Amino acid sequence: MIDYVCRYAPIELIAGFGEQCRYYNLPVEHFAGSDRLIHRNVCSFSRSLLEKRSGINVGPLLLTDCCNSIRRAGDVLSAQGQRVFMLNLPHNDDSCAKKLYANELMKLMLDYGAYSGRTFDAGAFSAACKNAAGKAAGSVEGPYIAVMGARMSDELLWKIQGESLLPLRNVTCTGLRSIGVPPETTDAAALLEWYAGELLSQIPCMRMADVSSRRRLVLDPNLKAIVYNTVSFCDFYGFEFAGLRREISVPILKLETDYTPQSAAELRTRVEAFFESIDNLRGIATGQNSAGKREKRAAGRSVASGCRQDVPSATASIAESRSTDRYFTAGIDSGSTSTNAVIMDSHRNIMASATVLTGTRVGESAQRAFHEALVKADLSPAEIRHIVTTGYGRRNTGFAADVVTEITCHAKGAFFLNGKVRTVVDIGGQDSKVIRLDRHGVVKDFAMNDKCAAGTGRFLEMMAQSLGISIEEMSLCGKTWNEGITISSMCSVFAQSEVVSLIAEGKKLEDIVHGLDLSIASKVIALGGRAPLERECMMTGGVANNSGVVEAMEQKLGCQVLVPDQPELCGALGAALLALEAH
Amino acid sequence: MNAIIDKFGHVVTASIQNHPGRALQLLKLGYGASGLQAKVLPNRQLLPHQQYAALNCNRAIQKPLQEPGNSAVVNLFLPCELLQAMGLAPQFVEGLAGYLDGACCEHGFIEYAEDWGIPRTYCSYHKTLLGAALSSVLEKPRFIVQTTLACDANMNTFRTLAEHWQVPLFVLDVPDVCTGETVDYVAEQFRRMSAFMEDVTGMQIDSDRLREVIRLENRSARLYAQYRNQLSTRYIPNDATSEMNKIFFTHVLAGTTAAEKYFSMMLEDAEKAASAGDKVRILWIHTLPFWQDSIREIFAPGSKYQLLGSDLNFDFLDEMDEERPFEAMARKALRNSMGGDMQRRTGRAIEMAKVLKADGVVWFCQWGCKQTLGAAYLAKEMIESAGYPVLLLDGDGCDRQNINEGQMATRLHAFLEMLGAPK
Repeated sequence: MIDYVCRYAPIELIAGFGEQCRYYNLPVEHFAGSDRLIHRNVCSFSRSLLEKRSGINVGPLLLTDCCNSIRRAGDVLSAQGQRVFMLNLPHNDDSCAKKLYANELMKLMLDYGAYSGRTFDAGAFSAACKNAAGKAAGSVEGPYIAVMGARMSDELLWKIQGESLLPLRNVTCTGLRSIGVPPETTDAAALLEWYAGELLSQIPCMRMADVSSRRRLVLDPNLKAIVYNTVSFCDFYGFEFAGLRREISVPILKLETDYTPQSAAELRTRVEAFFESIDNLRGIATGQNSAGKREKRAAGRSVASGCRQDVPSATASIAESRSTDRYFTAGIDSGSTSTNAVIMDSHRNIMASATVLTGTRVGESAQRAFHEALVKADLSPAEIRHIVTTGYGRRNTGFAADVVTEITCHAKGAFFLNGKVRTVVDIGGQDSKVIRLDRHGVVKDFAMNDKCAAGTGRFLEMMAQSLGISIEEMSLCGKTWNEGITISSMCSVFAQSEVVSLIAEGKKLEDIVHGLDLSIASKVIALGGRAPLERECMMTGGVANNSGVVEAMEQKLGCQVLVPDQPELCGALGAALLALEAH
Repeated sequence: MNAIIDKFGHVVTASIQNHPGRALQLLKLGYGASGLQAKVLPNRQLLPHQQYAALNCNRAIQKPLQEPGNSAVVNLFLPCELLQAMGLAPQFVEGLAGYLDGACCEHGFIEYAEDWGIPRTYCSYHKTLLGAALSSVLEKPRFIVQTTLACDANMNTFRTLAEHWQVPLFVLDVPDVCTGETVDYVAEQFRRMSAFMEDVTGMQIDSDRLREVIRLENRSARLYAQYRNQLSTRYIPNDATSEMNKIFFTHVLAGTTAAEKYFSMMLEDAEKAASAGDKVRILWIHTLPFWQDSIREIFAPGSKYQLLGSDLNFDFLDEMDEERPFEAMARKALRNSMGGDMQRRTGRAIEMAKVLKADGVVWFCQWGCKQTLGAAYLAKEMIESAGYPVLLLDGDGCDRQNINEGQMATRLHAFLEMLGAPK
């Protein structure tokens, strides 16, 4: 058995020796082992390859020099004494390049023959090619969602498929392998020349010189959405994504993955929210007319607009609600720091809300928040017709409820509070999001922070700790600043040491806090990309209670930022509204 | 002076988004002024060949800015003999990014590039050039030529630039090994590149002129070899900026009379230099963050540390066959020590450490350079096995806001103290 990682690898040639090739694409738990072997700022897949293979007795590896990171991973494994067959893969696909690659294949044939002691059988090679030709790469009939960009672990691919309403087509850099039927000849040289041509004529990966034929991947009318993957520290596909997001009208979501299960919850949130945001996806999946569905929703909104409230705290009287034939729903937002619950009646009045600390037991805190809200509303659990849960713990609350991402919920809640809102900036305990809405309040686009605390509530907590003040004090003291200070470190940990240095330099507390407020505002605004954030802009999530950050946001944006009375409740409010709609 | 440049950088940065033409004019004025200063009031702390370099590198950067239609954007490792034979001015990534660094405005361009969608993990030199182009500050050249040698970023950067500017792009594919077949493969591409350039410019490449360029380059190579012999036993002061300037002459200006004069002056300066004495002799790998105070101070004239050179200036040291120019250029690309497996680059580093009698090696882990980063740990083992202590120094030679100056200075100083400690 010989492992390979790239679709330009000549696996049929190895089959000609009667040996099987195995596509290597395994995730890892961590990079503790590879961090001793290679710098951490190389592509994560290369690190995962070293993490799994280094220091153990494994079979040979077939690599192409497809990028600098793989090239170096191959160098490291070779230095460990592992058998690595490294192929020089041309960047061009013209006749000269094909001839050169045929020479490279011939060299591999000789090397592998010497290594294995086996002889090449042209018949076995042809049979393997015919077998490959029978498997059309990643073909899907009818409407589909493409997973595009850089390679992705099989595990993540399955998870995305699990969330998707439409079939998935894997057109990532490793998912497009295609080989034709070989000519009827037993002449090895002629076969290799043909084979080199087949390998180099595939739809190219972004490392190749001419990538114009990749356009056909996004021009298919059956393509309904794209989940675009980039691998951490592989830069090739970030460029293609940057172009595609400007050029195509198909909804597209960018993920950055690193071959570990870290941030699995965050990735899942992104994917779920993306699919939720594509208004007509369910219609396509079930064959329904999605346009009719959209009209129905819009009508619902116009009816609801008459009873919108400015703030969630403006609750309807319980007596009033009892006196009519109303029903109730609940939204529960299980966040990383706090869990919030909102109960609404069928006339879209907020009956009650509650906030508790999440702690380590998501289910218990969700129950506690729910029951506190019930008590305030003077209702029993049986009177709640429908519940929607959201937030990081949304799947683990223990409620028999619908599960919706906090992106959709915050959008829903914010638009309910003010129908002019077009941008929602939600800064929570461990992540921040910029959500763009259309004039109907439907999510058009969103961006989330990467797995980094910068620009989140956690960042402020860490800095408050370094400054020896409470979060509440921090919220106020930055407003009386005098000297402008720039906190330049992108990383929270380095920012913390930068703050310590500023303290040592004798800088004033107010000025440092103001610098931190601006830092968090810059980080979050940068999430929104180059296009300016459309007004009205509303801040939600717990950090919106920090008036220093809000003022910094206003300073950076040059406009007023709306903040509801209890911004941390916005996600739960949206969830309760969605529960009403579902009911 | 630093405060003035800092202010200048702020003004340029403020113009990038909405007034790119103004930003370009400011840069041209700024480089014009610094060129004049290099000519009239050269830095007397520098050796004559370094003063000459400061002036001529400034000219090499200014020319494509003044005459973009008579220039080509290239990557560092492209053999530029054909461009020199045609009289076209090459503008290269590291050179322009370094100059924008010198004008304290690189981060504005990096931010622009990142906002545009360029990954943050990408090489900062390339991000700077991309930001300058995508913001329309940098005007379009006549065409772009790139190699695939050594650096993955080339493919992304130049493809993006060609699409943005709508100018012709030629990709010279350089395999990782030098064999008869690969020489033929690359030589054929140089022939096509020659036809491409003639087609785009409407000019003819004079084969006699091409041979003359190679002849000049060979004379420079011989002077440079003599210089290295001198360097092995002498203390020749060398600051970080001068070492980065050297890259112009060992690469894009190779084969010019300016380069020959530079190497000639360099040898003269070397012959006048004192013996090595007890200086701690450092071989540097990759680019130098010349704008960083801690680096500048360490290699300032009179310091007890001697910068022997960067491996980027030792990547090709052979002479070329002027009678077979296309094959010669192909061999130059294929034998470049930056290509291929890490043994090749590390082997050259060890060879240079031996020849130049280095006391230690600093392997600069440039942000975004997967080739250098990926080789770092293994290279450290290999170079240390050969008897030369190695410091792996994480940093960014281009982006001021992507470094931790204090941490870098501490690590570098500790390493130098270790090397300088009585044995």
